[in-house]
Amino acid sequence: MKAQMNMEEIARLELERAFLREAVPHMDALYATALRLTKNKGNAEDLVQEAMLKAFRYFGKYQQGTNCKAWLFKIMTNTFINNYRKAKKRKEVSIDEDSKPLEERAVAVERDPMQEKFGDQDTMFFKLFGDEVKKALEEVPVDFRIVVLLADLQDFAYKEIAEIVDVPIGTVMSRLYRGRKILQTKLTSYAEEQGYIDPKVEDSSNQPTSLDAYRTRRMQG
Amino acid sequence: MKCENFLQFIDAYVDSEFDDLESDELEMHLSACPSCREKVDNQTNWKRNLKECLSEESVPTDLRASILSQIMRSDESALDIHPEKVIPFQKKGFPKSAIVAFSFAAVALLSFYTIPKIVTVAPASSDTQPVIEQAIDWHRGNFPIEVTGPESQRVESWFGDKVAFPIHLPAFEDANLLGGRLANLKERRAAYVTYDLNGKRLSLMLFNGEGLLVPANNIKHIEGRDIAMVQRDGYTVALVQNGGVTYAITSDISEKDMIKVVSSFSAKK
Repeated sequence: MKAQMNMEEIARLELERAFLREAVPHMDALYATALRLTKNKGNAEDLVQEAMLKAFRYFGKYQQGTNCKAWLFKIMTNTFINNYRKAKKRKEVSIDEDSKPLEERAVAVERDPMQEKFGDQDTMFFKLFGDEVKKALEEVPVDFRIVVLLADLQDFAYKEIAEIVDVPIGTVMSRLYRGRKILQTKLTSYAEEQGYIDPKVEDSSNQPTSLDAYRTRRMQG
Repeated sequence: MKCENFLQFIDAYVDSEFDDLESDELEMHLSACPSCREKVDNQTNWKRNLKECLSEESVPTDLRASILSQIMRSDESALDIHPEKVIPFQKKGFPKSAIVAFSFAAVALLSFYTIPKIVTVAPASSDTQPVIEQAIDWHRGNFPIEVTGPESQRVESWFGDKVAFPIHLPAFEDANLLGGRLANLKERRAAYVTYDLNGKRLSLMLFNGEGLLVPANNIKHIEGRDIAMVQRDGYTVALVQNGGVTYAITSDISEKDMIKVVSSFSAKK
């Protein structure tokens, strides 16, 4: 054995080391998100594994020191969507709400259940009904669910989400708004059923306005 | 600002999308409007609760091990790695003047005490730090091992023809040999072994230290041996030279405890 490794071996080891340092720490975050995307443990494991190996294969192309977490989530999201579409083509999944066209599902939610309903007690609600929260989230249509997971679980900025999901920021904002409202409505119904909160219909709140609109309005004084 | 104007932006505000100046304007409204304030608090709580509720789960141990071993397997063809895709590795030359070559530690350390100006290497010197940093990286990584302990003879013979220097594993007091794997330090092949030291992990890397540098101001004399001791990111790294091989010992123990460990260092000749 030579004292010094050849250049390819060295490059390979350097790549491994960089990957272990930059990418591997995000594996738990990928997994927590994958669980709610795929709705089951086995599929989540497969998805994380596929995404991580893909990421390693393309790691040479990734610019080290840039946003590795967002890069990994883009790979995982693409992998998930592609597998999902393939499965749908093969008709291996039952026709659930997820497979309806987006427009059909993007009906505005009438109520704004979050405000003043759970109030200070929502911490308790999440503690008591954690499994129901997960179940309710999994029932949110996939395009909205992804955006809610990226914003609320992973704290990505709108701009990062737009890059990960490959849609304009305005679309991110409206999907996030609707996704959260759908989830809140589901949880409100559940909380009402359980007698946790009193049913009370409220007016729908304002739709989100784009950041540009805000900035334009500000400029005009 | 009216409530209806504020509420149009409440999502973006709660999601911290505004810059400081913009936030200031929105917060002016909030400070004067308890109703919007409450809405913001509720929405912030909701977001925090949802996150807490969803982030409990971490990757199962066997999945983690499986992914890591697939990434780190030595069979490169299985991962379809093309040389042109990998990051170019830059080989750096060592400025030979005014610094201590570690392989000559014994000689150099002697002269360090007599002519410090010539041989002193600043702690921040870029040529000395990679060794420390990489030793910590390998320790922190806790990567899958390729050969298991606790018999040091078994681990030593596994390394046999894989490294170009003899492997004599030291017997540390109170430490159990968990196992070892191949590693690299800068461009050198290194042997990595890990121990359990009363519940703490201790990593040891063996490599040919020729040409590598250590910060000369961190040298300690322990039991008649010169040891470079560096504290970094909560870890203590000790570098020892023995029979032409350099030993880097890393753990998250205090310098005092590390000295105790190194004192029990008794590699067979």
